[in-house]
Amino acid sequence: MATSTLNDHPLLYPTFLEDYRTYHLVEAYWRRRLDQLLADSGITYHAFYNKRYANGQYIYDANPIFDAYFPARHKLVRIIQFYPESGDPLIEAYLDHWPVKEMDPGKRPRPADPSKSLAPIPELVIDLALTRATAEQALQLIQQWIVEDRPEEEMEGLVEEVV
Amino acid sequence: MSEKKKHRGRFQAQGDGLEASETWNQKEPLTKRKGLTLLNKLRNKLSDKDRKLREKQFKDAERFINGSKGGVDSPLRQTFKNRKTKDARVDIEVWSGSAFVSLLALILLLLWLLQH
Repeated sequence: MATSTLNDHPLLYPTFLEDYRTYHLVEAYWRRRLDQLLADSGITYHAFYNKRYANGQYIYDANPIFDAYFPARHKLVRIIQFYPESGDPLIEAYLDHWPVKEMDPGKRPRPADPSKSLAPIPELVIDLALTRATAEQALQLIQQWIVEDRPEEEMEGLVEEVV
Repeated sequence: MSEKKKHRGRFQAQGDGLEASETWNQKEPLTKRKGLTLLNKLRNKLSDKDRKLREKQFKDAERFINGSKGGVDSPLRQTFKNRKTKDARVDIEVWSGSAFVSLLALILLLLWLLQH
């Protein structure tokens, strides 16, 4: 994979916003890394957000580059990837929520626990420039959020520590 | 929000201690023009300080609305973050239905619905 250096943190797939093939390679990269993380857990996921315009064309802005809903946890992960400007922190994360009650009923996700069907979905949002180090930090957060199923209150603190 | 209509969503400015939003809830898809009006309404709600922290992010949100080809369908979330701050950002959330259609597309849709 092509790399370029930015302040000693080589970016992975640096042309991801410039050519569609590389963009899709990055999407595949995240799916592969998440599959590896979840391999022994039995936890499944599916994409959640729409990433196309109504005319069918793909939205190639990496906002998000990857997202996943986990029915067993009724939780979301969303990764926004950017090309950094000088001085930008390479990774940040925070928690948010998605209001399921406001969705088209036919598009609502189906949590493993039906009692959560209309509960807002807590979401881990990771905003990063992709390097080997930020990928590992992101996966560590996802490990804590999804595999270990840490509660929101605890994640608030963990997010501050890692990034 | 009162009775839930088919097309709903919101623009939100949050982070760094702020949470403000403008929602829509209507029978027809939100047009680009109305979307830009609501976004501007949100922008004007903010204090000078909060608006300045999100100036570029509001422009990025405008660019997304203007660039939406045929609009977008739910569920969609776009976040525009000021990376020079802790978490000041502007979000676009399309909760149900569609948003950011052109006025012409909306007129054609309404005509089609009237005929069928």
